[in-house]
Amino acid sequence: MNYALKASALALTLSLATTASPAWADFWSDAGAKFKGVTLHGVTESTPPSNYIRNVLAPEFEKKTGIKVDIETTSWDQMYDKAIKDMEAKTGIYDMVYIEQDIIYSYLARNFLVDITKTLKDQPDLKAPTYDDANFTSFADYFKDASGDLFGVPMEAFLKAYLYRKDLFDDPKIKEAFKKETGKDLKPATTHAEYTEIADFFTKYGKDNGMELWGTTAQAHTGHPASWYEFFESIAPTFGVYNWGIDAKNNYAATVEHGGAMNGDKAKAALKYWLHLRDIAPPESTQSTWTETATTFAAGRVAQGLIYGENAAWIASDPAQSKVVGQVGFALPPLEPGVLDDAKAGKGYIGYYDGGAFGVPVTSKNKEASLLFLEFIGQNEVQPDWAIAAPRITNTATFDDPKVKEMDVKLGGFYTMLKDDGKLFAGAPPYPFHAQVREATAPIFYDILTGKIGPDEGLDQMAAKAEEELTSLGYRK
Amino acid sequence: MKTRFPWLPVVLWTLISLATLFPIYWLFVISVKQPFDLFSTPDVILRSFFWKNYQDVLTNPTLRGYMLNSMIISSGNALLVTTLGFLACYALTRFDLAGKESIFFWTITNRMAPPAVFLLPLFLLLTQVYRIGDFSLADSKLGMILVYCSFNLPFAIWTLRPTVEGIPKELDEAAYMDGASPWTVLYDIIFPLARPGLAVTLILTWVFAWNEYLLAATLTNFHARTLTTGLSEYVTTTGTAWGIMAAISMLTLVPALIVFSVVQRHIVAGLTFGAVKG
Repeated sequence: MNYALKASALALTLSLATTASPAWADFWSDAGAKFKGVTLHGVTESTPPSNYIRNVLAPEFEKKTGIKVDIETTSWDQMYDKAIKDMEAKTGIYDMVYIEQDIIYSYLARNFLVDITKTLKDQPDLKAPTYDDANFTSFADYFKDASGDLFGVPMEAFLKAYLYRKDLFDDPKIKEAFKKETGKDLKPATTHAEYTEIADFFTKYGKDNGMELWGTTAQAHTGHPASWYEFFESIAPTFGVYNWGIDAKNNYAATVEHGGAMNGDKAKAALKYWLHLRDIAPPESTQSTWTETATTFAAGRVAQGLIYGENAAWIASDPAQSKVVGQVGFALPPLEPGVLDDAKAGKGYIGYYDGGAFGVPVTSKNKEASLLFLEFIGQNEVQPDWAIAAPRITNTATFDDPKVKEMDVKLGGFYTMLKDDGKLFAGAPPYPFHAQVREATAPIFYDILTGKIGPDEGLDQMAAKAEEELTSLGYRK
Repeated sequence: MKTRFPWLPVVLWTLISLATLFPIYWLFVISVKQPFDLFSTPDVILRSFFWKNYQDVLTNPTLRGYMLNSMIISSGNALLVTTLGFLACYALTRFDLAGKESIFFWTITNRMAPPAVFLLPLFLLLTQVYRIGDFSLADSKLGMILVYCSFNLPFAIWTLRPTVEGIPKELDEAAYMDGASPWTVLYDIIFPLARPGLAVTLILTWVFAWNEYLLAATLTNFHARTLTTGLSEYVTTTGTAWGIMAAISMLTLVPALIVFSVVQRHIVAGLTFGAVKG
């Protein structure tokens, strides 16, 4: 290629670049012009993805639009309490609120949120050329209503995955000991029987060798909803008990007697399996919630466990917090036969798809400017750096970015699992009565955990209680 | 008188002191441990120091902002309630007000219910009632200073009453005889004598406001967040940053210790003032 040709190609590239990027920049400055001087207020849980929004995306947005964004980050409880109070009292403090995946249905039932799809359709001047909700992963489906309209822009999404210690599973001495004891090769479990066998082996191995090592984690707090969630969102589905064992299509039946599955044989088997794991897990397990199981794993105290994905990233990659960096393997949770087929056919799921979105309360005083901000954080362009800084993916375009692929290697393939198997996992069932049923049945569940009541009898009581609660709420006719 | 075991009180007091100080020591231990060591090696004895938690806290401008807010709110509130409490006690002890005992008792009713009871009324009051145009007491330092008055003023009145009552009325009368006004009596006679009690009230109300969490967590958002509410940012679904929280807590002790050391000499006198009045 001669110099003239090279120069022409360069000139063409430069002219294209200069004509393309102002068009992108212009939309934001044009759209933001009429909101100059406005400050948007948002509240969210203090997590790495939210902190990235506060520290990076909000200042970038302000630079492009002139709209200032203040994000209040706090604990989950505080965030939820503040958002609810604001929306109930219609005080209009917040223009954006974090929506946990399992709370969206309650918010929708109370008409708390602005319909993003409809608003952008009605006001095309607000629609950013770089925003398209078709780019989101299937996780966005959990923030839509029955007609398919979006009410929240997904900003973090994780799978509750099966984590195992590669260093232990690949240790020749341990492999040999396992083979000797069980007659099998040591590899990540695919069934509950295999998982139990491995867990029993490592707990015994730790004890015999004077090590602070156990075979499994258990999120089994005796008075915190985390244990209830571990059972109904992570364990029961792997036995084929979906949506908490409540059949919404069958008059919200929960008991076997009425066609539900909360106290069915599968649920009872699942509970006994999990209680056994709890009994051979580290002593802190009876006080462990969603974070403590992760801390236990990161401290190198267990060989395997089910861990919320938001923790998987730091466990696998942050040496300041984890003793097992580079040694973390990811796998699908162990399953009963038929469950994977159910998930592939869309009839069930194999674990919990966790995360949240940003939505605009109808009480916001700056709805349009807020929607601009949500579009800004939902664009493909901002996703890769966000996925590196705060490991999460909500947008399909992110997976193929070279930086993200590099990060995926560091995370032991967590992003690949999210991409390939994300569809096998599911968020919480679309129940507006989510909290009420959980709170009604949780005391019985805690009694099971503390041994006050047996698992079979306890599940029978929980199923009956669930139906009673649903009846009093008016769902069962 | 000689005792058989002269060392016994020393040993006992040492043990009591150690037991009292142990939580602070334990807090310090947590603040200088690596995150993964917190659960895996819960030793009482420190073997290494991980100062990064302190570095993170001290270089964080948001936390510095929270600390400044805490200082302004707790100092403003302590000064206000001590002043108002002092004036109220002077009026209640020196003048023949109808039903003054009932008034005195009534002031404490605010402290009879748990603060959570007042959360929603205060939230609505600050966000919707006390609102002029864009100005709202919600999420403002002034709003928090006033909110804390609801709970600290009764305490101040009850703490200061024995102090003011303990000052002989004859001193007032002598001053009046010399032509002093009530304000002169208050400022030149009562105030100097009541200083130990005022110091105790000031410091205790300051500490109450400094440590308060529940109301601040609900009533502040962007402009008046305090250090205690800042702690909640470290309780997340990706883990609780115990080390950083412990470092923040250790640092919150510093201003309190400074304030205590300044008024320390008044504290014992203030707490016992008027206790033996016949």
